[in-house]
Amino acid sequence: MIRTLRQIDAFARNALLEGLRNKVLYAVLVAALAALGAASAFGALSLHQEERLFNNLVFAIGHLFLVALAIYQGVNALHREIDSKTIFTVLSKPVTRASFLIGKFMASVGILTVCWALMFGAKALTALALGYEVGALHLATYAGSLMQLVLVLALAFFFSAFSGPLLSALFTFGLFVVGSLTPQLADASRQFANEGNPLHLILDATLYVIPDLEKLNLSYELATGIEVGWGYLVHALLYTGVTSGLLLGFGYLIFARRDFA
Amino acid sequence: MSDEIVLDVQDVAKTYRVGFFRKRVDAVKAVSFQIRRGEIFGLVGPNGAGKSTTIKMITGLVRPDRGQVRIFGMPSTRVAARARMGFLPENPNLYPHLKAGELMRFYGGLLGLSRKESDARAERLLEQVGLGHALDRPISKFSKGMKQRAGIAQALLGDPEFVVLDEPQSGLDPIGRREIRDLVVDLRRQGKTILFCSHILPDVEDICDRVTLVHQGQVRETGYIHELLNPDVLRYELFARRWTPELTDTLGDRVLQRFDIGEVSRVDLRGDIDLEETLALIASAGARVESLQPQKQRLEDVFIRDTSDTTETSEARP
Repeated sequence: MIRTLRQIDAFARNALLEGLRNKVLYAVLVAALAALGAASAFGALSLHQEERLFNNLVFAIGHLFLVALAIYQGVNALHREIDSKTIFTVLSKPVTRASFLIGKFMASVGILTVCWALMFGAKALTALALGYEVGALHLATYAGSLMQLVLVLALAFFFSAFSGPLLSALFTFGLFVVGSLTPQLADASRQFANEGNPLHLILDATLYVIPDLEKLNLSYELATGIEVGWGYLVHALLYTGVTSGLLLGFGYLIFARRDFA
Repeated sequence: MSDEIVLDVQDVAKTYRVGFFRKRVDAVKAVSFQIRRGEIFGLVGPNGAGKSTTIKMITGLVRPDRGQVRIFGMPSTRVAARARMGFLPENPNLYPHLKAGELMRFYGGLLGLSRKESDARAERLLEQVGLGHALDRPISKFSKGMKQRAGIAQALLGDPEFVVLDEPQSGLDPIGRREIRDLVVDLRRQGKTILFCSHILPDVEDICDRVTLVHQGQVRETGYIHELLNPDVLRYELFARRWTPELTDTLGDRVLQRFDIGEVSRVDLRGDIDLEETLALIASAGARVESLQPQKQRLEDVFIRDTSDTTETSEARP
């Protein structure tokens, strides 16, 4: 147990050092913060809707940057180890493939959380400087964003357990889009069902399988000021944990059978 | 050396499927050998012979399609087996963003060592492989030789009983090669068992007790070095002054070939001659022998003999 914890700690520290010394990560963060600044200025141009526009725009831009970062980190975390063959010196140690996968995932979650905190912190500071309110609803919205990022990361890990980085990125992005459109897909399914179109069976199956990312998107609540209860957040956290666990579990089943030649 | 079997490779085979049409490539067809405790065991073969795939099956990176690999009696896929093994891959790629000290701390963490223990071992090992001065230098700034040494240090960090070294001298200059050779011998003195895979056959011959020669995915020969090599003298290599063409005629078919290099002649003599009589003939003709070296069969000769039966040397890698 102690060995496993030390291994996960080693993976996390290594990934964090890699992240801190990776210029790409800084470039993405700087670009995201610049976009946040631009969004803040754009909000100021709107008529009496400054705060709402600021909240919506800054959240949407920041979240999309973080999703891109989650996909980048998720598809590269395993691929870099395999491609650069550093995996040879890792998996020949007393490290199980499960520990490796979990260690890399936890490390990636750590990096994403740091970036998320920077983004949220920058947004909160800007909002306070502009005299806007920053409260529990903001925190809940951004907590939902972080949970969505963890799910996107788990999807990227799942795909990169058996495919290359480009395909993994495409699959993950595709599922992010589909997973964000679950209410629309449900509507379409109902419509097809009413029309007797068998396509609704496919849509129902899709809705059953894909992670429902829209459940974690609380931007509407933020924009309209609808309170989000703790119960909902706990439920969302459980959903994120179980779905991520399942994705990593399925990813592990494939990863455990892979040869590293 | 004891009779305890450290590594038991039993009839392993591995086929890769490559390319769009999933073409079959038989990387390893049938490889079996055993390594006993305290041995330095050489694994040699031409490129694409299946050495690296065999090593990856030993280290648990590749699953054999057939056969089994046991380390200390346990399947190589077991964590407990790998905890007693250290591995240096060919041309090791280490994390370029880490400094040497951080790298060792990372591997120490994977081995389950505490930070204090890991740091202490890292300092001693980096000193031992000649990187004591580079503790705070990033791996990205290391030369190929330094990376190789850091790779060896990480392989030894867990104080393993069994060490697998895949081309440990690759990219090293003659001094570096010599240092690695001495290090391997020193590891044996510490009681470690070593699987040494190398293309540098004179070193394999010098330091290994037993050797397995693999070719086209199959074991061609396994045995003690002295068993594999013919003990008879194959030829004599002689350097002499004042050698004349008449003397060559006198010696007849005892002379295999002769080259004149300025005033000195290099003469290759057959190995089955009566040496005393031949030297007397040379002396009586007025030639002065400056050096005489008996040439015996080398591992390289066995290697070439056993692998020259086919022209196929393509890489059997995925």
